[in-house]
Amino acid sequence: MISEQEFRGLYKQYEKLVRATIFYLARPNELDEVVQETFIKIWRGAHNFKNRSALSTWIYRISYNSAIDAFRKKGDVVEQNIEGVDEIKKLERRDLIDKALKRLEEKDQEIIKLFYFVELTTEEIGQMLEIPEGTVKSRLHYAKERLEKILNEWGVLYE
Amino acid sequence: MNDKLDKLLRSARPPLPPAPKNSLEQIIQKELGKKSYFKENLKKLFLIPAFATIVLFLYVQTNTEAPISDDEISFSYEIDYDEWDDYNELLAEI
Repeated sequence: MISEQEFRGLYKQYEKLVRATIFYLARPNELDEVVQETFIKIWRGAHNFKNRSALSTWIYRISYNSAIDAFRKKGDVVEQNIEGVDEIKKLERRDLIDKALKRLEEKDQEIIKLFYFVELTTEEIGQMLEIPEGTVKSRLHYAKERLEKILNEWGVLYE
Repeated sequence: MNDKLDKLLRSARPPLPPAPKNSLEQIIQKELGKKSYFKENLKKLFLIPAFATIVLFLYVQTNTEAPISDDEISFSYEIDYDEWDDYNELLAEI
């Protein structure tokens, strides 16, 4: 196990990333607890990584796994149907995007959230999801196309 | 790709709830607390068998008959001469 001092350094460096990944991908009710548990895992396992880049990749991965676990524990979110432009206009922009994202497949949602909300680079997303950066770019492109299609159907983008 | 969509997505980013101020300290407390708890238990793991051994030793001590002392062991080397005479008589007859 790494020392308390080393752990404090890791926490400062990665707290925002871990927190954002778990929050935007899973929105767990117990966000603070999930983040704490994730950091305890990081503390216990960090000694295996002498190379800093391997450590950061592992932290991306462990944050992602924690988010997925938290999402599964939370259960499926009931999707609301949106009917009519009037109803759409009543919704906040944020809720609207949230609902549109829920219409997408999980993989598409993930990649958009990681890029736009967690604000990771395509390279970092590749490390997190263990896929090449080129695949991330292409997935992001198609995910945005699908999202755009949904928003256009609702008359949001060109209203 | 649609710039409007990019803009919309960036503006729709929900605010990240801030971490509790003492979050780091809580994690450290949790982890180091567990370690000291383990250490305490580790002590108990040694103390319990040691105590049990002492109790068992005392039980054995009090419930086992003492070994027979040398004084209690006696052999009789006295010769029964009457028997010896009978034996001699028998030999003579042969």
